[in-house]
Amino acid sequence: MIDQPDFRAKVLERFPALARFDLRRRDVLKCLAATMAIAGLDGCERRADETAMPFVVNPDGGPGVERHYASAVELDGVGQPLIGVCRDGRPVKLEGNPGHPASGGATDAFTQAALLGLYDPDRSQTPLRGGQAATWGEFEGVAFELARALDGSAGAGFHLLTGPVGSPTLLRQIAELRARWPAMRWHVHAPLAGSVPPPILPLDKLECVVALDADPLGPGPLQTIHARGWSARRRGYQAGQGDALLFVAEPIPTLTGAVAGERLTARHGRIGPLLAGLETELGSRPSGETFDTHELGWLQSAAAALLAHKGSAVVALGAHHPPAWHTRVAAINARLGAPAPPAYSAANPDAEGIDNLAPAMRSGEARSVLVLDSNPAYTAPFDSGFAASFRKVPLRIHAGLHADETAELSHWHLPLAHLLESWSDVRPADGSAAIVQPLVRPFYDVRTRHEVLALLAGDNSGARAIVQKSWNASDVDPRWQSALLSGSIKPSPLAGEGGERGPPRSGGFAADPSPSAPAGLPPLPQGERAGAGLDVIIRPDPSVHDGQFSHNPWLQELPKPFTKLTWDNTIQVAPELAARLKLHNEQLAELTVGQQKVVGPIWIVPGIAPETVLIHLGYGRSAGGRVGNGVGFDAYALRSALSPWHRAGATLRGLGGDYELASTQTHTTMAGHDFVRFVQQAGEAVPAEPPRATMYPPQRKTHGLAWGMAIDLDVCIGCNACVSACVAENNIPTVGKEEVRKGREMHWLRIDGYETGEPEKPQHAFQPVPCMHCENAPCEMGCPVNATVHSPDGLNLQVYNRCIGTRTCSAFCPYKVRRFNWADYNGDDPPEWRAAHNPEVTVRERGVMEKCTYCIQRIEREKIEADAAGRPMGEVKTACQQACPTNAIVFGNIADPGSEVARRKADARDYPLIPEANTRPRTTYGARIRRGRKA
Amino acid sequence: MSDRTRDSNYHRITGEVVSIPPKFPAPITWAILFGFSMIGVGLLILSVIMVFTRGVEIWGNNIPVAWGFPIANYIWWIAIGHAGTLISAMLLMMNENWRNTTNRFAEAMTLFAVTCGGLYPIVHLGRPWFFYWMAPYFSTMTVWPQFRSPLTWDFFAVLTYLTVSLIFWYIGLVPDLAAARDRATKRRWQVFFGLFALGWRGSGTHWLRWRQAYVITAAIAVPLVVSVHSEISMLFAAGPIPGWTSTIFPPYFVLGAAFSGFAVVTMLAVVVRSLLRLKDLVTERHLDMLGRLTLACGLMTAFGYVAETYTSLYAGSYEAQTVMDRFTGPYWWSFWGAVVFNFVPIQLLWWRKIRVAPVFTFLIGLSVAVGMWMERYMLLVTSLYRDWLESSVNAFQGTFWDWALFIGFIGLFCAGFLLFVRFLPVIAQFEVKEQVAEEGHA
Repeated sequence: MIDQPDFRAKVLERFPALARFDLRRRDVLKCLAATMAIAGLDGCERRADETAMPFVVNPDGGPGVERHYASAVELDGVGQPLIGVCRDGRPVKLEGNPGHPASGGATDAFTQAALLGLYDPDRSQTPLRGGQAATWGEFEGVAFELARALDGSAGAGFHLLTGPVGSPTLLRQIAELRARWPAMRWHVHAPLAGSVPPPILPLDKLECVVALDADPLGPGPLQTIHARGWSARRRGYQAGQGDALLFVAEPIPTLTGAVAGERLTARHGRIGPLLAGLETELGSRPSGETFDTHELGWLQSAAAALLAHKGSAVVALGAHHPPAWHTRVAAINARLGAPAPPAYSAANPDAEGIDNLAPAMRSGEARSVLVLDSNPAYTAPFDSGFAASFRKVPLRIHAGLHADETAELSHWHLPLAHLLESWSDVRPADGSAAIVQPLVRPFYDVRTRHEVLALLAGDNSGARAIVQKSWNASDVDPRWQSALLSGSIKPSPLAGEGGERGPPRSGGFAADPSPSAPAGLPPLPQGERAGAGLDVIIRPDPSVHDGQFSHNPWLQELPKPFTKLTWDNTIQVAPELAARLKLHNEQLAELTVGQQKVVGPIWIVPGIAPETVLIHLGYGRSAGGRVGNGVGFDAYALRSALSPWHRAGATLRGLGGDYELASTQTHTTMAGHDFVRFVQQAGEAVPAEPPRATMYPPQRKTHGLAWGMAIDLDVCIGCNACVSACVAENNIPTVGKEEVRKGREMHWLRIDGYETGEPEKPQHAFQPVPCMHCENAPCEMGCPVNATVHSPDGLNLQVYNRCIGTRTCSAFCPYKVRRFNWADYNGDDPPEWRAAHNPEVTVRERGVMEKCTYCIQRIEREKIEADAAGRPMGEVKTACQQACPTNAIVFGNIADPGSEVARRKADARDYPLIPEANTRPRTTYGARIRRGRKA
Repeated sequence: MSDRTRDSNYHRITGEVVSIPPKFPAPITWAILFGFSMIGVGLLILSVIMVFTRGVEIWGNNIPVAWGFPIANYIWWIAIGHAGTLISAMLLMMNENWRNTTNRFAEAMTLFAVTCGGLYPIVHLGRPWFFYWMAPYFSTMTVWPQFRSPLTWDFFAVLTYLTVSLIFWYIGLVPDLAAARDRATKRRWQVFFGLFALGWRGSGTHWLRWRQAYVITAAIAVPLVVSVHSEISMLFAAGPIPGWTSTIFPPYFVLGAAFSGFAVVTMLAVVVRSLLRLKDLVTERHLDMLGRLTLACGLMTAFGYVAETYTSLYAGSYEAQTVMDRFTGPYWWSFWGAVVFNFVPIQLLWWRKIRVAPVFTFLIGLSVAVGMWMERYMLLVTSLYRDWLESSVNAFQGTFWDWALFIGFIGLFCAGFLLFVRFLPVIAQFEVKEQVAEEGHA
């Protein structure tokens, strides 16, 4: 019947989507099966993988009980240890693993948002053959054929392309494949890797750091461990123990530069001379370079500080600078007696780069290519010719989370499981290893990366068995169980530590360039001479990284640190360059380097070096799903394999039109006010606030509880981890670019960014702003229906079901921290996203006001548990505080003089925001200390 | 004047006024105006359906400008209403008899303006179906309104004002309704007027009781003007927002309200006079007096501007920042527009010739109505879009639906007023007759 034309026409009329399929019975059934799988998602029958070991075993284990599992996700091959919080079998929140040295309980913004990545409805759900739905069974046949052919040829013609690999099991599997097929070739495509592995700095021990175009505190896989170390040192300095000096010279503003005591805005071409100048100042050899007064001043104070802190000082150079320079930096560090770096970093020295793959594909040598968890069709440099040569390969297989740009070019696309639903292992930044255990059974017809590789080797075992094999462990092995409980596995006692570790570090900073990296400066493409035209600096995006998070609306809507832009990337220039080229914000401009050009909107950012243009990767996806498609422009188009991070000789030309951008903060100066306050050195006090008369009745205090928060601006690096954690904890909806542009973003916690000082030498400062929980709250006075009221323990409560939406509270709020549900922001969410909601937090309906609650659900839970156990209330951590990698945010009972928050509030640097409004806020700030030097 | 001519005068007045509904003098003009108004009403219904189904997202409101058109327009409407009460009640108590031809339609204007104004805050709510939570009713949850909130008192104020205005207007209408009943020839008009005339027979006792009720209601209504608009000014003045939190706001708002109200009364007087051909009753004297009142209130409002600006600049810091922002910021047009439209054209009212020229007074009234709208917009938007923190600065812009709702309410106001003109005695004929009689005796 199905072959009768009438019937086909009728079916197509009813189900137009089926037109894509060659309408055969098998396909229709497959399609129905897939539909059933999706339909099943809606139910609450999501079950935990029973072999995963609960971190906290609840004895009665009834419905709704929270279970914690230690696991990890991975960023650029570096493990990010975490605790997955699950309820009724559904992961609802990711926290840092407090027992793990690489996390200490903190996370970055990416890890927080990984939860939504798990529930991404645009994830690939079934294998695709030529873009059509297929089955794993069919692919198994293909894999069997391929393996038989490779057995015959010893692997010749087979190329495996991966991202940076840190997983010991994956390394073991690749090593085993290579042992079986010696002629196969393994390529690693790490679009964000520099020319040397990024150094991991023991920042907690370093009293003086000189960063030359290096951003250790910036977004990336090492941010959490670096930020924790740096803030530990900074806190020591605040307490009067040693210095915490940070000198930064860089062409673009970075989070490290923003917190530096002395920041020098230096063009890209000045980093080399500055390094030479530093060598001169440290007494090695005269450089012959000439410096202007700013540079000379910076160099002299940096060198003096380095020499004054021998043994606890280090020079860090951006990983994208030439390896030869790193050797020189290593020599300086050796002379300074810099402490040994604590850990390993992801590098695969025995793999080839992607630059060797394209010629092999063009020449026809490559007969089959497996792209595992990488998207080179989007992220490869334009001059690698990847896409064109990839098409020549007779068998192209792609395995990834999404049917991305590379999948579109492949014969086969295999859906990979998200790490949060996989068995795997990773290597976090501290060099230990962590077992990844699934927080939930996979939703879709997906397999883990290990299973895909095993399939190729003809091995049908499950991922758990594969991982256990690497660690020589079994389910009943106590070491295995303790590894699952702690989230960390000790490498030493376990045999079968598969794969090679990164290059061993011989004490100090003997930066050891990977063998495949070319020595010396790469030759610049034609016509790119430093000094002529503009420098283009290319960096990963602070929110969507290299583009792997462009599916994630939480990250797309995360305001970027220096621009507060959401949902777009921009061509960023300094105010002087914009004035010279007559460019204004949102104006479309064309950036040309050689033959390549991109068109994007202009955004003016103080702190970018003169004659320098900054662009970010990760946008302009063509296969980025419903969220990522058509957002921003593709900066990879300017990325040359020879010079991936910097292009010289660019021209920038303003075009006629404008392009609307959505920034959450349009004014970035303080207009003569002191929202962020500064003191010159530790111990110095901010001016005391005169007591102001008030007509409000005095606060009632009961039970000795008075909740308050202290945010230390001196250690805030503006990394957005707190914002991302708040979104995840409090079911904060994403509203989309149009609504953000109108000023309707819903973030309960925002990070204000200000610039002070002269425009060419700006001082950037960050200020996280949650609800202030004012003791004299104007919102409570304004609300006509008692929908916002004060609790006896000092919380400013918002009662959603009493709110009628007069918005008086927001109009009266001096801090504008309240957020209104202008539309039904949750109504259109796909069911997958709803599954990510925290069941302890109400999902707000249209027409009600909401705001930061100080995570009242966490307070109440502790209250209930303490009541049940008959003990006094213990510590409560808000979501932002828990995620913060620098411990800038502290929450607690200010009525208890022994609490950390009370100590912070007693500090001389503590001040309220806008004391003129006389609201007596419970959230206060610690003033920033300009330099990190003791008086 | 002989008794005979006086009697005929009375009859003429009664005839002129009472015969308007059955034998309407300008049915075609009325129909055209009413048609336009009904288009506005249609737009109102559409806008309300839109906002109820899609939510307040269809407007330009955002954070920080959480209030936008609805609150600015609410204040504008209520303010317009106040002139009606002032003309009727205050002048009644002061025995200013010239009011007698204008009071009835001025009161009607009050009713319709307060209706429009009162509906605005309800439409503006995020969850309008719960608007009654602002009322202190006996809830099983024993939750009461929050009595410190200016909005709670707004709710009481507007409701009280609407009630008192309605009662006052109706009491004044009763004798004329009886006259209309007596003169009506068709049964349906007799029944219609008869029901609402409450059995009025014109006896001495009736007149005595009526007079007492009327004056007492007037005595309640006049202080209400001051308290209601002082209360409304608290919407702004109670918020700790630079540009709002000022003790000058209550008197400043009351004067501004009277100012815009007199301007609109002037416009309506001109329209009623030409549309209903009542030039003999609404005379040059009336236009003259309205012009004087408009000018006086305008000058006092201008003083409010000067005083507010001075105190803000004197206060410095955030207050001065807001004032400078009003002068030169992105919403400069709303400040300078308010100054120019409010205070420049009214200077022409110093001349009697202009005051009694209907075209001029109409245009000046229109200018003041526009200027006072700009003032409300300026006070609301320039204070909120940039209050304390530079980081929360964000621009506000009204959308199509903001304007549609506003135009819709203007349509509702016009339609209501036109219906009143068409079907009810638009001028208090007995009071005019009383005035004629008193002048005759004098």
